Amino acid sequence: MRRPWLTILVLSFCRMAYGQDLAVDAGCTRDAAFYEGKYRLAEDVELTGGFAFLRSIRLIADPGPELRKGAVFRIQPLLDMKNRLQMALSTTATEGFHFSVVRVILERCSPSEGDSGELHAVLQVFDSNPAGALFRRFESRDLESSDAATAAQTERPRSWIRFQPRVGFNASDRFMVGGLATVAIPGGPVQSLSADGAVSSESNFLNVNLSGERDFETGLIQSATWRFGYQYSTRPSETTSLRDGIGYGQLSLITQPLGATSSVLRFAVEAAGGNAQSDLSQSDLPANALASSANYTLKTAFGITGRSGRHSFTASYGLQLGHTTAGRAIDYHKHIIDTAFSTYALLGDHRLIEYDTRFTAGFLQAPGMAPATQRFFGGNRETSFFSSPEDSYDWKIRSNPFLRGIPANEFNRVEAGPITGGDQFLTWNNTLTLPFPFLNYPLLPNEVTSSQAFKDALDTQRSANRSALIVSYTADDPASKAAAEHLPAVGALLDKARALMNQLAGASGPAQAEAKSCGSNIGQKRGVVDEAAEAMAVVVDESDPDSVIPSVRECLKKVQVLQADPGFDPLFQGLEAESKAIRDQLASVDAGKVEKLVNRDIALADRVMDVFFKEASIVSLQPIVVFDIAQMSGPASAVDPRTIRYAVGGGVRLQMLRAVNFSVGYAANPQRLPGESPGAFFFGMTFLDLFR
Amino acid sequence: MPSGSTKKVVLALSVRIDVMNSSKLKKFSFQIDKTTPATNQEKWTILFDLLERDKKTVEFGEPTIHILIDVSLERVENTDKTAKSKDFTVKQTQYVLTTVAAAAKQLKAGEITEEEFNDIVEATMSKR
Repeated sequence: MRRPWLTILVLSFCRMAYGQDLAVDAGCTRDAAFYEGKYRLAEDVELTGGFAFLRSIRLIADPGPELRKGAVFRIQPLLDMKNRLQMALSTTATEGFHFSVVRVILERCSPSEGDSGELHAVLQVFDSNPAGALFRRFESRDLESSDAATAAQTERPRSWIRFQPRVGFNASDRFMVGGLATVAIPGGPVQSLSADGAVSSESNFLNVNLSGERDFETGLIQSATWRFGYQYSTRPSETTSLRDGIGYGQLSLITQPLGATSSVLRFAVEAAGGNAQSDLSQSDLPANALASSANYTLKTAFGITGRSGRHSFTASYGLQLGHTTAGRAIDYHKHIIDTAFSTYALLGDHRLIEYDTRFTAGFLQAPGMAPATQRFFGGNRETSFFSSPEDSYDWKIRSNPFLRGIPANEFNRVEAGPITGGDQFLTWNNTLTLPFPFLNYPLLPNEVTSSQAFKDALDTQRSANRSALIVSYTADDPASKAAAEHLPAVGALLDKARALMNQLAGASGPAQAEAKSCGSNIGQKRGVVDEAAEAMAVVVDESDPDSVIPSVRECLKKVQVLQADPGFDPLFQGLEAESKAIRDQLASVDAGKVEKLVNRDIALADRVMDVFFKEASIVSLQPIVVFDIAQMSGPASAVDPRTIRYAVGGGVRLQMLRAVNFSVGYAANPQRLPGESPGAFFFGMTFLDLFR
Repeated sequence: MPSGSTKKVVLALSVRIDVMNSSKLKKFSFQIDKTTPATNQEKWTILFDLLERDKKTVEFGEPTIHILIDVSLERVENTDKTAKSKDFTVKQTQYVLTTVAAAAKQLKAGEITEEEFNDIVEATMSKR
């Protein structure tokens, strides 16, 4: 590793995220029974693992006095806590498939062997529930590996206040520092107040936002969110700056997941009013642009986003109507189309190749006068269509030409000359993350996934999972339900048979003992019939002597051989008739449909397990390659009103679970105008909530 | 198992899978635990729960069927085979849902003993 400081940084955060697993000071060389009753706990029982930070897990896992620091070590309380955890994780799971692993570990025994000492008891918890809930939105893809709990929206806040600092560098903005502070407001229609700000020597951004939301269990709409706020930004564009200050109100709606991809439709509307100012010279601007003016806007957008396996997509259309002081009701209108697709493949253990592509187009038409800041300024920072905190993972519609080879807002003209901004643009951005991680710490340690006990348990679980689904979907088939309608008749026959056996067992005939045994068997099978609607095959399966009707028929025959009775024949006839009717119904179960449904659900289960075993990492550092193409059209008066630009470059992406996201790179600007830099360096680091 | 190289003792490993059917009205839970309190004293526990509800907006309550097969040292050979088998079959699942469920009710009602119940469970798990 060329940069030892980076390694130290990575390991420090890794240790934060993953507890003490990376460093073991002293060893436990004997089995658990050796330490029981002799050693004391050096600390309260510890929770580690990918999702052990979840508030819900910590609440569930209140250890009680027997697992507190100083308590004498006992095995059973630890096992009880493991069981409570598993039960609670299962109870809170809402997805079609849920998977959890809990390991109970003793470590750092001091001394390793002795008549007394201290040890640490650790519960490693790996729970798929947050990840399973992620298959929703395009924007949550990055969040899956970095902040799964937030992405899944399953975490209960630990604190009434959150703060997420961030730093970054951009050739236009220079070094920036800032962060997002959020205060929870319990009860009422407004549930949080947030302030997102960033400042540098060249730019600043402030968003103060009040928001609330309501979720709906049923109906077409899954959630409604409302926001009110104020946003101010100063964006440098070479020697000039673009300044927007607006107050806004928003309403956004998301539908319930639809179709096989669980896609959701989104709709939002925003009304805003304020000022749009710039240092641009009015004489340099097109005739329908104002360097500074009031700006009132009505924005509306609709879109779709979904996930299907390893593919995710989003498509959005936004319309902005604007009114300045020029006297028209609508002075300008802006149209944005933004589509993106992301996919990845696993080329080996924790070796992911990822491809992200995004196509964005914008069109501004001003029959009246449009503020200059509303024209298109591109570069290596994206502008969001709606007003919102920069760090939010809400619906983001990219609304400017994003080109990584040019510093932010400096893609601002189509030919040499004054800065004008653009009227139209098309961009196509591509990012390829290569499957050669410089660093990787898997979410589930290899010592877990490679252990034979784990593999054995998982193999059985997989087959049990499949079997349960087959049984369940078979029971749901109309033919199976029709077969189950025969159960009362079968039950009545068994009641008669049992009565006959009781009668023969009570008499002193040759079949007394056999009848008693048969009666007991029938009693047991009678109980099975009451449960058999879930699995009708157990009633009539001729290949299995333990099935209800074959088993009862055989034992009746044995009794009949010993002692004839006129009651037997109607019983045999009745059982045969019911058995045939049930078998005929079961033969018409749509096995193909059952198989299809099972395979669909199994695919989800395998997907979740793949993410956990082969993909999810606590820390990963991977190389990326970027390639962008952008075309911007400027004022009609330009000699060459169209220009095409490219950006080619690379860098690295560092992701650390729950600690920090970090990316650094450089993109060249091979077809540049006079005075433009040959490329742009980018650097960004976002820390996650410090109060979590 | 204690290990000099890792200097850790893995006391227990618990793997749980929950599967909900498409209507979200039924949930199957399987949990397999391997506990090693002492060297050569492995203990396997297999848990099966079936939970049902009338509406998907209502939380699942107590399991309709709750089966805990707690196998101690003398039975470890058979259960180890079951746990290690990749073939937890449809038939086994059917019998768990019906025969074992009926036996569990009988046990709860005091109609059979725990030993009889364990025999039924073991027969269900091992035969199919």
